[in-house]
Amino acid sequence: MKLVVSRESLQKGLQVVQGIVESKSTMPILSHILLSAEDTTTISATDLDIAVREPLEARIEEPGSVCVPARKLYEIVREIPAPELTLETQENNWVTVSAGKSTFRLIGLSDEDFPTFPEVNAGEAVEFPAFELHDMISRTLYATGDSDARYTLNGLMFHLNPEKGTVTFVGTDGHRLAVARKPMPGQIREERKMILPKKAATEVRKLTEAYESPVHLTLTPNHIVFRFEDILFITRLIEGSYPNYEQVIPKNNEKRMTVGRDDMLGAVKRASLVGREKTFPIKMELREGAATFSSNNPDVGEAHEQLAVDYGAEALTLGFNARYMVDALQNLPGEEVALELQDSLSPTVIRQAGEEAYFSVIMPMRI
Amino acid sequence: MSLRQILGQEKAVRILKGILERKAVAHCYLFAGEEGVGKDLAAREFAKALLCGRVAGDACDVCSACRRIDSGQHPDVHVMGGEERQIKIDQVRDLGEALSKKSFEGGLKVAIVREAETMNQAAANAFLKTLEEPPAQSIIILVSARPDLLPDTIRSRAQMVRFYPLSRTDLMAALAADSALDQQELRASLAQGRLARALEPTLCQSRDTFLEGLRQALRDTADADQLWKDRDDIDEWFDMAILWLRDCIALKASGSASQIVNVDQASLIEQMSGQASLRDLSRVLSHLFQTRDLLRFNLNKHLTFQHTLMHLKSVLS
Repeated sequence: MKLVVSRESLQKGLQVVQGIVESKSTMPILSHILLSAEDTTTISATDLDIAVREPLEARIEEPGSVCVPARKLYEIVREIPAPELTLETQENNWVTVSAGKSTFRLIGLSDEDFPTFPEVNAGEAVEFPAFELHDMISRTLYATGDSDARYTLNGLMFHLNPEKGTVTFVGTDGHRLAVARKPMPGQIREERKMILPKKAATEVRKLTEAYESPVHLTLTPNHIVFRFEDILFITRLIEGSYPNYEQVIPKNNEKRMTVGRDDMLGAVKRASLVGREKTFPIKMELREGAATFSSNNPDVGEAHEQLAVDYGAEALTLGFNARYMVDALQNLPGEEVALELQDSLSPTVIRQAGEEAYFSVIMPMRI
Repeated sequence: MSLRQILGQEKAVRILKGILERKAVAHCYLFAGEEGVGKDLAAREFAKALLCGRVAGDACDVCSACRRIDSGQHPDVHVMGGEERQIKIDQVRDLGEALSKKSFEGGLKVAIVREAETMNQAAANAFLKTLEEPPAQSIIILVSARPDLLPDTIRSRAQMVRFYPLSRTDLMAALAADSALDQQELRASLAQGRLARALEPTLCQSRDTFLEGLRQALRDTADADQLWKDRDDIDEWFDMAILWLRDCIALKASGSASQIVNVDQASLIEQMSGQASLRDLSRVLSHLFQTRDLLRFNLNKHLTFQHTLMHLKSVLS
């Protein structure tokens, strides 16, 4: 393989994959990128959970491919003053990088050692507006579990239901649940329930943030391939079945309370200030037209906060983990939220008032 | 390498090839058998055969998947254990997490747990969680020279595949292929059916070093620090001592040198165990077995040495 490439485009290309390349991995190949020059030149990197392939503008003088240590190549490219670099493979996967008066010889690895990327076109395709993906992921990701032994909870559920024509993102850690549901932009043949690893969901959220064109998704049995113009982002899915989240969503919570989102957020935050750490229990007492949030901690003291709310049903007292309540309120859009309640020990629904798209379910605490 | 090339394990290989040909793969296997008889090798070759799929019932050994498994670079083959004295809970959790993802290349995922008996209790309990609800498309291969030390709960969830010590003929055939190895007859005897042991370049020297050390110790001119520099030394020493005592008993009982392992040392064996009775010799031998078994705990080196030497002195001179 022999390539001539501008320093700038190589540096840019390497920067994108730097975050994915693992430095302290047990598999040496994962700290390498795959440079491949056939019809076009591409850079590929993977940490086995996620993988990226991006194009590199380069003049191919001799086709071929090789694995190059990512970190070292990046450091070299950063320090080189010349505008153009030549990369050439030699025997035993040695790679020469020359630019102006500098020459480096790097120990590379055979391209055959690089994990085979999944077939990116073998699956159904859908397109999503980037901002919708970003919005739905952002509003549900917070509720996913962290290193839970129930591995499926450590991911974000991505549910495509062609029958109802909906796309749903669900995050839950077993104590609370966040749902974002929208009409599906395209059509797919059969229902798909896929669990995105948290890390991948975080990356997709980042990639969709400032992206304006639609994102092209290919759904293979084991992976989802996100295509952002030329860049391919591939994520492995989590194996196993996700809890039946529909069952958890209460259907007949008749008592409704509506309140300004920021008002309630402030009240809950303040009321939880003196509460016990770790679980942050707060008490919410509801009566007609008013809510009182309070917490007490035998070591510190007490806090009370009154709030005028729109509530007409009978008086009700519930306990919550203030953290969960704050997370839910922070991640809902709109100015008003509606709480749908049943009794003091049943799950409570919090949603943007008058909207079906985003809501969250929180299990109350015994106080 | 491929499965059919594994030496002297016809029975185990037949079972494994049968599994592959019938495509009736269980979710967990336990490869059990003595150290150095080919279990780790078989586990790797079995993994290759499972993921290769180009040849029915074996690995092709030339495709990219086979070669990457050989070099430890395959994304769907996870190997744990065999590096430190214990397998810890974090390693087990990492493995569980790795298996919880769908396979990278679309086929099966294989986890190989080497020296599975070195899982500590917490690790074993965590591992049980993975075993009880094995993630789909995952095959777990436990490899252990001491399956009896595995918790019943783990053992009962795995299908056991037994590996036996190699026959002398197989050992000699393997040794003959490498002319750099000296004293092949003695090697084949000392190895006791363990091919990896027979191929150790320094096997005969270690036996001689052991003998020298033993004689010094019996004359009280060597101490624990001299003979046992690290844990491997101790393991090795006990292996040798057990063989030596076994020879004393064999020679005494049969009166013929044809039954002994240290084939070149018949006269020394006779001379050292001259006065001792068969009953005493076997009592000391069982002490040695017992102590060797306890070595997996943190024994005090000096006490162990004194204790063992006291017993040896009562029968050997």
